[in-house]
Parts: sequence; structure tokens; C-alpha cells
Amino acid sequence: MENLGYLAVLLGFLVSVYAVVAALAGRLRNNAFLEVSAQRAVLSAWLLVTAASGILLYAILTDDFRLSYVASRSNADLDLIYKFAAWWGGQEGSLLFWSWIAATYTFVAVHTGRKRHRNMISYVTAIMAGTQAFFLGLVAFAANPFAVIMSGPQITAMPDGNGLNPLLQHPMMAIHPPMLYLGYVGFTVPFAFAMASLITRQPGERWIHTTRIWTMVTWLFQGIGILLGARWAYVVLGWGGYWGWDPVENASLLPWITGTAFLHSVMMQEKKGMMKIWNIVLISATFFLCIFGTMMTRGGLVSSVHAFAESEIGIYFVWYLLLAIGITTYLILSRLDYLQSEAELDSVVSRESSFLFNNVILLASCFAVLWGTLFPVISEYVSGDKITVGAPFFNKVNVPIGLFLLFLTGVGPLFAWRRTSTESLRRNFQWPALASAALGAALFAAGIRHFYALVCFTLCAFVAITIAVEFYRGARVIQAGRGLAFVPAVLDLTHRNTRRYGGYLVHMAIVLMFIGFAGAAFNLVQQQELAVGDSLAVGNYEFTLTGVTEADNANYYSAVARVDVAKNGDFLQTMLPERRFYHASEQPTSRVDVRYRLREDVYVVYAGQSNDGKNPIVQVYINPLVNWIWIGAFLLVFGTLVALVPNKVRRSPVRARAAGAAAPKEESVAATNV
Amino acid sequence: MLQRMYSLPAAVALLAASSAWADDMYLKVRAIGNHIECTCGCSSTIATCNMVGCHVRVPINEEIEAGIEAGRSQEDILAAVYEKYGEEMRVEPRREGFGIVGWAMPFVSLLAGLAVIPFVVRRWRRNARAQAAAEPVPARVVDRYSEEIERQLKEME
Repeated sequence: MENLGYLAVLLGFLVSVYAVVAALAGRLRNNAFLEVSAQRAVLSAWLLVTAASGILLYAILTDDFRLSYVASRSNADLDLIYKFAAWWGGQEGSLLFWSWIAATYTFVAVHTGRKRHRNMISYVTAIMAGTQAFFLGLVAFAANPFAVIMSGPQITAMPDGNGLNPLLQHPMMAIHPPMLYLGYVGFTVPFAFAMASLITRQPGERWIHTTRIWTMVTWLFQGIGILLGARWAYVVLGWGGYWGWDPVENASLLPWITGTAFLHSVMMQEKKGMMKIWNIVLISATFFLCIFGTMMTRGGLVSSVHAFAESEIGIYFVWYLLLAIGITTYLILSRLDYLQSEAELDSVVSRESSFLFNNVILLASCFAVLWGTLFPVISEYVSGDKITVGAPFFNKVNVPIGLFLLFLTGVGPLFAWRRTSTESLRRNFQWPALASAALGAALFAAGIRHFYALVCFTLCAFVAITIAVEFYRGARVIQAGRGLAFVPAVLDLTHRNTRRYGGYLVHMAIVLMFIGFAGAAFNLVQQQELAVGDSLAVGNYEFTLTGVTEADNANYYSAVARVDVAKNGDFLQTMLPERRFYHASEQPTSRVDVRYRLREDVYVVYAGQSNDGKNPIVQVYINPLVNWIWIGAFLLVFGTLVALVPNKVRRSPVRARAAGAAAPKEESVAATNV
Repeated sequence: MLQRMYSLPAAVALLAASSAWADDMYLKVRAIGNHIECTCGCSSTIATCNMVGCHVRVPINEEIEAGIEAGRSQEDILAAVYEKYGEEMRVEPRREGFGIVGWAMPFVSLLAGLAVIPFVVRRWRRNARAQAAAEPVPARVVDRYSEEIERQLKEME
């Protein structure tokens, strides 16, 4: 069976290489047969990688411990869902998983775009199949998941596997890596279309129209992946936080930031024909950062808590990145004439300028994260000092940049395209500025002195009000025109311009998340060894240990502490933090118990045993406002989905009718002053 | 009931007061521990490492506590830890030598980006003026737009 799996990987690699060669040769020689052959090769590669993945999964599910990968990442008593997760729980399997997602994306992108983009689909095929071939090459020659355990000439099996890393045995971990991978790999699609557009010098912004949905969906997957990772860290790692600025966390954030910048600046190209070079650079940078992120996770460039599966494959990524960056740079430089901007700007105070600021801040933020992540390597190279750059550095650098970005989130949409009049500025800014300043003053009077938190809450109020006013004004116009009630008018308004109002919902989600981030300034924490009957006081809360329940099963030993929680003397509930010891991997983990509330989370950890082994050590965190982050996460998903819904109203635009030109099919009516 | 209402808060207050000193020390140690990397393999700081009986965290925490009790400043305590255990215990660049580059680069890049914006905007505006001078909008196009606007305004009324 393992031979079949490896054969499928090897054939998948060869077929992917063939797809690259056939697509390029077919296009350059104008040979339709070769071009179609390349497209069919994409399907074949997908079938082969799917078969290989199926065989690996079968081996995991049937406890085939002859396979080194299965023996090291699974064990017989592992729950079914985690056996499935073992597919991407280690180096070799995760690279195969990556290859399968890449093959799926390639197949879908090529087969949905082959008719609409006849001129450039072969280049898209070559670029995507090339990326896929790179990963399949890694699986085939550097990280084979089908390698068997050998003892002399004999294939041997272990009686049981080492089990999946206990930290990964959490439902969140069954979703978080696939989401991130869907994001990482998905950015290949817009990159491939952008490059193909450059190579073929496609007129207009067709590649942007084509890839906009791809980019948004991919951006959404990446965002969900990051947020699930944060949530997993919060509920599994037991340190009371959700973001530790770990190198691998940072690596996932980088392409998301550049992707965010791209989703904004791309509007400039669509609406004004501006920033063409910039958009190509942004989408390319996003793709490169995805590869860089994979290298960070798998290549062991810097040490990380996430480095579940490091190896020496990093050098292959470096070569791949250098090659891809070299080719992309050549393509951009050789086609600067095609990328000439149809630039025009009437006023500095305009939406165009706000997009420029937005992109600069996002890129500065991205650079700050990248710089901090790589600084240990740079520092060691330059000065010989090997240091770790941790949360204090990232917080000091990124908090002010993030607040500036939050400010722009509120200000940007209030500017009109081309020019914003003084009257318009006054009308749009007056009430949000006054109301948020009043809130800031009230918070200060209430005793909040933490500078960044105060600024953050004030800005959050400002942005939230501007967004609410935008919905209100638009809905009032609809109400007046169609006689609808307010809520249906809001729905109608959103449906008329889903991209704009979906975007506002995403902005509101960011506001909610910033409220949650600011809450961290007021966290409380306490740790204490507790005997049964002992109490621990944190803030207004009192925690009393009433007992410990022990249990043992085939997978792990478990001790659950029963902790009664009271607030201001009133009993609230019994919380059950748990400590587990996994037999197969011989590793302990904590299962925290969290009382979720909008105002604050009560977060209780069974941190360990006392030195004499008699009493549990209980750690308690009071985390204000952290729930707003997860609510914001749901709104971010909802807002992005709204933005993906087609607009309700389609009609010939005024401009086309007035100029007597044919109306573009896709253009939609802007209900207001977009 | 009334007795319960008064006695429980009183007990909580007493408990809180008795543990105030310990709380304060714990928080001070934790605040300093946030600036020290734990090298036990947990990839956390001394403050957030939750390995029970960690061979790195426990002695360092004791040294921090001793330093606080001796009235030494946070900077002094951290300097002593870095000197004893090595530079790899740092979680942020030093504020001297090459470390200054580490701190400055993100802000330099931000300022450089912001400084470029006026040039880009000026160029766009220059292009706009040049375009407007070179290609005046034909009167018939302007008329069509005007007519369309008028028509739509009437529809709205």
C-alpha cells in the first residue's frame, strides 16, 4: 500500500512538471493540443495526489505502524477526529496535505477559467502547477510520508504509535491548520493570474476582476485560520493569552496584512486605473510571504513553539523563493509600460489619498512584524548576539501603528473619491469626533489611565459611529425612495452594494477586536497551590478548591480540579480545569476552564502539582473584554461573506449611457457616493 | 441572609488584604519575568512558562524576588539575569549598538512610507493637470452627462 502511495506522489510530481512544460510549450508554439493536454494533466495530478492522501489517511485510520509517519504522529487509541488531523500533524503529512490543497485549487482555477481566459490560462496553469510540483517534489524526495520502519532488511511495525502532539488534540486543531493552508495556498491563484496577465500584457484590469473573489475567499480562510489559532492558544496553551508573537504566528499574519492592503488598493485600480504596479507588487509579496510562512513552519529558520515538524528542507524554500522573486521582478520591470497608471488626483483630501495612507500603514505594520521575527537571525549574523524578540518588542512597535490604522479605518470611508469638500468633512466628522471625544473623557473621568487603552476605546467609538452613520444615511435614502421600514432599508442598502457595506461590517469587526485587544491592559493574574478548602482571591473574585477528580483511559490520565467561583461573595459556578498526561507521548497538557462573559472572562488553569504531588497549583486569569475578539471574528466572517454576495441591482451605468458606449456587464449601481 | 450578605464580603476583603503583599510580589515578579525568555523549551517568557517545576523559571523567579526585596530596580534585576544566564534570555533588542537598529527600523520604514506619499500625490496631481490640458472633455459628452443628471434628478423628484 505504501508503495502505491509513494508511486502516486511520484507520478503526481511528474505529471505536474509535465503540466508546466506542456502549458508553456503549447502557449509559446500556439499548440492547442498541448494546452488542453496541460489542463488535463492538472486533473490527473489532482487525482494522483488525492489517491496518495487517501492512502496515507487509510494507513493512519487503520493504525499501520509500519509507516514511520503513522507511528510518530498517531496511536491506536487516538480519537478518530485526531487521527484525521494527524494527516497534517507532522512534516511529511502536512506537505502532502498542502500539495493536495494546491492541486485542488489548481484544478478548480484552471477548469473554471479556461474559457474566459483563453489567452492566459496556460500561464496560470504553468505557474500553479509549478508551485504544486515544488511541494510534491519535497514530498517525493525530502519528506516522504510513506517511508517504512526498517530493521535490517525487514519491514517492522511498532506495537503502538507515539501519538499526536497533545497540544494538537483539540477540536480547534482539526480546523485551524486546514483553514490556514487554504489561505496560504489560495493566494497562489491571484498571484498566478496577475503574473499571467503581466506575461500576456492583458489589457485593462481583467485579472483583478477575475481574482477578486479568489483573493477575498483566500483572505477569509487565512483570517479564520489566524483567529482559530488565537482561540486555540487561548483555550489550550493555558497562559491566558491568545497571541504570543511567536514566529509562526507572525508568519501567518504577514500575508494576511499584505492581502488586506491589496484588497484596499485594488479598488484604486478598478475605479481609477491607478496603482497598477503597486497591486502587482502587493499580490506577489503576499504569495512570497505565504511561501516564507511555510518555510518558517517547516524549515526551522527560527525557533518556534509551533515548530512541530522542523527539518532541513528550508534551503529548498530559499531557492524556490529566490527563483520566484527573480522572475517576478523581471516581469514587472520588463512590463512597466503596460503598468502605466492612468493617474489623476484632484485633491490631496480624497479617498485616493486615504488608500495610500492605509497601504503605507499596513505595509509598515507588516514590515515591523517581519523585522521583529527575523531580527534574532539578523542580530546573530551582524553582532553575534543571539536574542529572542518577543511580545514586549512587538507590542511596543505595533500598538501605535495599529491605532493609527484604526484611525484610518474610521476616516478613510468618510472621504469622497477625487475631492472632499470642507463642508463634507465637517458634516461627516463632526458628530463622530465629538461623541468619541466625549466617551474618551468619560472613560478618563471613570479612572482609566492606561494611555493606549484610552486612545483605543476612543478610536473604536469614532470608527463605530462613522460606520453606523454610513448605514443610517444610506438607509434613510432608501426609506425615502421606497417607503421601507428602517431594518428592511438597511438590508436593501447592503444588498445594493454588498462589497461596500460588507466592507463596513468587516471594519466593525476590526473595531470589536480592538476593544478586546485593549482589554488586555487590565488583565489580572494569580497562581497558588491550593489544598481542598483553600481559597484564592483575584480582583473581586474568590476561588475555592472543593476537590480533585482523577480518571484514566487508554489515551491519557486526567485530574480535574473542582473550583467554586464567587464574585463579591456571591457563588457563580463551579469550574473544572483539567490536567492531562498522555501515555503515548508522555506529555502533560492543561485543559483550561473559562467562564465567558462580555465584560470579562474568568480563566482557570490546572497548572500543575505541588512539589510533594499532593495539591494542585491553580492559576487564575481575569481577562476583561476578550470575548469581543471572538464576536469580532464572527462578524469578520459574516462581513466578508456579505461582500462576496452579488449586488442586487444591476443596470446600465449612467456613464456608459451618457457617453454612448456599451455598458460593461459586471458594473453595478453604486447606491451612494462610492 | 443579612448576615451572609455582610460576612462573605468581609471574609473576601480579609482574605484579599492578607494576600495583598503576596499578590503584589507575584505581580512584580511576573512583570519582570515578562522581559526574560524561558529557555526550558516552552518558547514562553519566564512569566508565562507554565511548566511545573521548570528548572529555568523557578531559580530565576527566586532571584527576581530577592532583587525586589533588596530594593533593586527592574533594570538592575534584568541586567543581572542577562549577565548571569546570557543574552539569549532577552526578549527584545538592547537599546545600544545594533539593538538600536532593531528598535528604529519599523518606525523608520513607517516614516519613509509616509514621506513618499506627498511625492506620489504631487505626481498624480501633475498628471491630472497635464491630462486635463491635453484632452479637454468634448462639449457633447459634457452635455450628455448634464442631460442624464437632469433626467435622473427629475426621476428622483
